[in-house]
Amino acid sequence: MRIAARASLIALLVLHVLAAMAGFVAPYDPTRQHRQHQWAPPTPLRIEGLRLVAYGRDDGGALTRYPVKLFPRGHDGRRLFGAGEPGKVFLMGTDGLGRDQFSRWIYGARTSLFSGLAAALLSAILGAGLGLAAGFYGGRADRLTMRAAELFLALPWMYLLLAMRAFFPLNADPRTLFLALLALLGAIGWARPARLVRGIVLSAKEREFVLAARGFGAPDSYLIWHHIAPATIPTLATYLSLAIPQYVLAEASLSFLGLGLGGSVPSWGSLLASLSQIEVLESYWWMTLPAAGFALVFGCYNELARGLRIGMPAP
Amino acid sequence: MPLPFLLGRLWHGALLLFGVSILSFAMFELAPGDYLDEMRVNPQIPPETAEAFRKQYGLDRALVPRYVHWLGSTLRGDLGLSFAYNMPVSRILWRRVGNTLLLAGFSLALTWLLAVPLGVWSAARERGWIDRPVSAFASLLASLPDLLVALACLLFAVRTGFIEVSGSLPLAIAAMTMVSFPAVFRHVRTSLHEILRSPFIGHLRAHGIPARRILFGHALPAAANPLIGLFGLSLASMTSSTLIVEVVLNWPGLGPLLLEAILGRDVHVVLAAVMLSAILLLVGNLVADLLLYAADPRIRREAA
Repeated sequence: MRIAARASLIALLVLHVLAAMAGFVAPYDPTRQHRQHQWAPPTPLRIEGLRLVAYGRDDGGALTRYPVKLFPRGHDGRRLFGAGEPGKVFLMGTDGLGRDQFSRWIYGARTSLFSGLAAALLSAILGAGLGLAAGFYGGRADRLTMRAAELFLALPWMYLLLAMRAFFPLNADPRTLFLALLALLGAIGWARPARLVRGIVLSAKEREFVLAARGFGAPDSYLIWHHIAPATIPTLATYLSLAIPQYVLAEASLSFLGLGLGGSVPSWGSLLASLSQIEVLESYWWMTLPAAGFALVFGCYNELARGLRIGMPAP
Repeated sequence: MPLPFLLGRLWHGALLLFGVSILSFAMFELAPGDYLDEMRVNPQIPPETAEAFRKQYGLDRALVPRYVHWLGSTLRGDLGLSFAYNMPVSRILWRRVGNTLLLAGFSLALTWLLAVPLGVWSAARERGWIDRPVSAFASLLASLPDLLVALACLLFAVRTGFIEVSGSLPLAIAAMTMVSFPAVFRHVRTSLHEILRSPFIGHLRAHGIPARRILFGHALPAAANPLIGLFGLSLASMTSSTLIVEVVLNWPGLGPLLLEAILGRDVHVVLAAVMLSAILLLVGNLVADLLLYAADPRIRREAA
């Protein structure tokens, strides 16, 4: 694998770990509104000697230095970093309600990254199962599955997603909605992996060692698990490397359009939604920082997929 | 053009459309609530009025008869009434479709007009002064999702004041072109690059045929096949990929209409918009097949 692809892989892994520990990494609660700090730009940080210092104004309005501490203890447990009150550290500034953008970004990463990952896995599992069955058993089941796959591929998927999203009430409980959204994304995406896997299975089941095993009386389940399924793994890995960012984007797009998990759950899409207001773009440059982070993550995904494609033997 | 080939394709497309209609109808109908729910909780509207509306729109009937009714009237060209606009869906839809097709058509043309010459040039002069920057730019754009590209265009327009922001066609075209450029450019570049390395080009060179004639007379026609397929594909996917750009840049196309209709549970508009985008997709695929048929003798033989 190329160095850039390896670096991307490591960066993505680190980001996933950080996102999983969002409650620890984020300096503030993502919904907490700092009323004195609406539209605050990113806090200026300086290195003075061996210490990192945040500059801010105290209650009287005088410019004051607040040392940034590692692992400070707040009223809700330890955090990764933070400044002593009333000092604040806003790495990406705050929005119009005074919510810390960086905390929202990290919590949003948890929502977006993991829903993308889970939906992609779900679509791959569904697709692989159906593709395996269709390719292996053939006949009417095969024809039916492939017709259905064509149907799903013929649908403009964004439209389908929106139409299916209408299935759920807009203001349901976020947890139910999250699972429903996952199921939705996964269920729409089964067609592509199913087709890929079916193609592999069709050629794999005619290979000589498979025919030999069948001749020796191996049951179907043995053939599938030991000979056919392993042959589909490289294809599925490549599919996943391309599909995961697509699903992350799908979740972000839904939230952007206001059809995601709702305002109380931070997602990358709802963070980006504030950018479609023109006065925000005009006046508050730091509101674009979460978008820049989002773009970097996509660059990493892209580089990783390219590295995998080059590293893999052609299917 | 052979009739059986065309007829087979059309039949296939009609079947798919039928499937799409069942799927989207069932999905939307099984969802809880309808447009009249809001009317029902509104204290200023008496419940009898809401009931009367319900009867008038046929919302009180069971799923299957309603589907049959909807299918019948759609086939007759009557797309039903929009609840929110209180006018026939077709009247709203045509204007919006026109806008989407305008955006899609212009950006498709611009994408191909830019990507093909640049791709050919990059493949012919690999690592030259045009290949390096354009390839790097295409890689950058390819890794950016359409949502971010559209937002970046908006940011650019707002910050420079260069283009009028709201609902501006040039801005939307620029965004769409940037979204679809990298795939086409890379496709042109790699397929031509492969052809230029194949043995027959070497033979042509050995015969002393000028480089320009090899490139345009021999390599480009040989590379055309996958490009025609890609053209049909980008034609087909144009309408669904315009959705995000339309919403972000406030272009009054099919996308914002669909979004609005979903949020307002305006059934007939949603169904019509989904069906229409499926039709556009199928037409794109059909055009691609026909183009390939016309361009490639192997496919002609296979179909015969």
